[in-house]
Amino acid sequence: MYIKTIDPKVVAESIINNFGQQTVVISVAEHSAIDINALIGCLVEHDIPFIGGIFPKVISGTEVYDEGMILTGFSNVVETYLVKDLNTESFNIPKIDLEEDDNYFLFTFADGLTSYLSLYLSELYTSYGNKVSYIGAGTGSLSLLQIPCVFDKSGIHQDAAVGLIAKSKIALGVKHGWKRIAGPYVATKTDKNTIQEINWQPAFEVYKNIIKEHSQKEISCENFPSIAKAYPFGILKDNSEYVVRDPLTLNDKGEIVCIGEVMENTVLDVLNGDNETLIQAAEAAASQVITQLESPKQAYISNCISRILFLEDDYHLELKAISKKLVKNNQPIPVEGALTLGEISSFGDSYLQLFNKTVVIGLFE
Amino acid sequence: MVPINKNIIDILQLYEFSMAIGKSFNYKENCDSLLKLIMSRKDLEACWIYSYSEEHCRVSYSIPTTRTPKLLECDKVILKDIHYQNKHISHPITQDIQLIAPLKLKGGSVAIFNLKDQGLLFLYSSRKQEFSQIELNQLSPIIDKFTLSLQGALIFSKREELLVSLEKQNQELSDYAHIVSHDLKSPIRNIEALTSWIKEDYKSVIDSSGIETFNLIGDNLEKMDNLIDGILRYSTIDKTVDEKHPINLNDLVAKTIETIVLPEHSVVKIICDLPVINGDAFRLQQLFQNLIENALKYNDKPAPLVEIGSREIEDGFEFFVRDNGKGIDKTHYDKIFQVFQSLDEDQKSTGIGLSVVKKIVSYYAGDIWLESKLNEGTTFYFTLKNDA
Repeated sequence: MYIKTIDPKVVAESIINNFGQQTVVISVAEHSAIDINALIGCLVEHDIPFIGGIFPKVISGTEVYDEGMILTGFSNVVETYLVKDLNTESFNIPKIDLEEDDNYFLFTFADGLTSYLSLYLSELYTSYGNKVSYIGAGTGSLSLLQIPCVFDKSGIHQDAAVGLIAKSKIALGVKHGWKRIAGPYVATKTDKNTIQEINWQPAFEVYKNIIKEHSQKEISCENFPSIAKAYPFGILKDNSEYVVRDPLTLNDKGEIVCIGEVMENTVLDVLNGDNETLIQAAEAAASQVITQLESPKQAYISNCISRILFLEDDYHLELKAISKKLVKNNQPIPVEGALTLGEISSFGDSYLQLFNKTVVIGLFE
Repeated sequence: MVPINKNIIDILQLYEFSMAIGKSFNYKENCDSLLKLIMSRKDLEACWIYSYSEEHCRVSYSIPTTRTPKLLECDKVILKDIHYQNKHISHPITQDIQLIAPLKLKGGSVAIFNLKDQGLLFLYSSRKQEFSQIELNQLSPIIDKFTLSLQGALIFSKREELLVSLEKQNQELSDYAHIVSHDLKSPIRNIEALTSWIKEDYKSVIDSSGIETFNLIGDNLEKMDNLIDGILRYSTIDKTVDEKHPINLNDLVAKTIETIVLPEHSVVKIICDLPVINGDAFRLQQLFQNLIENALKYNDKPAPLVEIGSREIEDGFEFFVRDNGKGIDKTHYDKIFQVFQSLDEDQKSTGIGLSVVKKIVSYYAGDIWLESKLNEGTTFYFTLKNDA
């Protein structure tokens, strides 16, 4: 449910009227004028269980909003949690007991620019494994300046994650639509999310030559974001989609800074796509999930902010393609979500990953 | 763009895996580095290691860490059977495999790798009906390397544990020596004061035999005091902060000689130019002082003579301290360096001096030995490196 207001009481009333006892996930567009601390206080006062995150933009149906918020309600929530200190290696994942044979999903928002986001996801999987399916999103500002961007009843936090575990079925669709144009290469020297060397040479030199060969374009420090948005890296995996890494900018040493960690000696391809392949991929993700649940009630999309920057005016076509496919028993399924800094999903049952430039669709019963 | 050859991708994946091995001496970090990568690249759902030996059988690593199976004897037999097959295999999810798994498995198969002494590694996928022989063969050399790194990690962790325990013991010993010396010295001083008061207050009623007994008590108290100082010096000589500076040993030994109360007619001399070495002045002074005092103390000649000299050797210097004293019987050569071992019946001897000397020389990774002829004298030799 999309709502645009600066009055926390209006939000609280909407939740009480529309979601009853459900736990609510609140996705707030970063330019919303509402005071988040006042909102938290008001929701706590009304005893409403919630978690939330701040995103560059939010999605409702086929529309994208710079202001306002998406309210998504979930029943059968076993627990909500907050994990702080994700800028260090010493954070604690909560211990939650889960039944062996029930279906669970874990929904998480995590600071998309925090240092140990990959470790957080890895530790989540280590704690809960394939007992749960995972969906989530990296929160933060389009300015890429780190801000307090996840919240729960305790307040709004930076370098933190919030989440909930619910006893319910979920179907996941993960696609990106980027295709290989060059590779494989080895990221021979990296530091967390910075690629310093590719094939034992300065990373940017190698990257620049690949782009020039493909498009005749000369990429430089000045025009890096506008050209690099079309040339992400793809981490090679067996039998599944690439894990895409978004080359965001160059640092002062001329090294390539990505959203999401690239471990040293990772085997990479350089990818490229066009509007058609990206939109087709989003449609395929929707087609993939819709067959998996008998009576889905709602869908949440974690869609990378860079896709709208790449597709520009055609982005609404991607949302249209998704909405068109998310129809069950002749009933359209409400589609809402956020444009994110990193997408979180477990590819069904397997190991939990952080993606970039990807669309993750979660379908809920 | 032509699709790249799958073989190239396989080879590069091997490279990626092999570079993830042995990044840490810590067992868990070592496992994390490789196994999380394999899980991510091969879309696996779980992996775990059973450390298996005759004595124990336990899950030593697991992703996820959802539960620890309580193994019955029959379950251990299953593991033992797999271990004794001594090969890498793909296995469907049977009841046996479920029994020994640390998580609920949802069909599929496991690849089981034999880690030799390090146990068994299980990789799990619910989507694979089996791991192909090619996959097993591809991972086989990686897992063999990984096995070696696990052995290294375990050896390292045992060494770390030993070092921690040793450090703790050393600290306790040092604390003990300080406490004991402080606690013992206090009553000694009290006894000394009390006996001197008795001697003073009752001097008119104590006869010469009594005075002699009081003197003996005084001598014994002095010995005990020296003994406590010696224990403290012995226990701390290798634990104080090492402040290294270039030390001119001619100056240091000359100053040391000046501080020693020389017996009548005795001569202590440096007979050749001593070198400048990089070392700790306090320890080096203790080293020479103990040897010189020792040479003088156990000298029965009317004109005791102690000579000090050195010569350059391959990686440092060899020093000697030579005396014309009683000499030492060969049977005592080892004993004299042991703490509290005194060859002399002198009541004041503590038997700590030479053990302090040996400890200092050992601290600097040098050697010490002696040559001696009874009634002619003894020469102590020791070596120090340029950079002591």
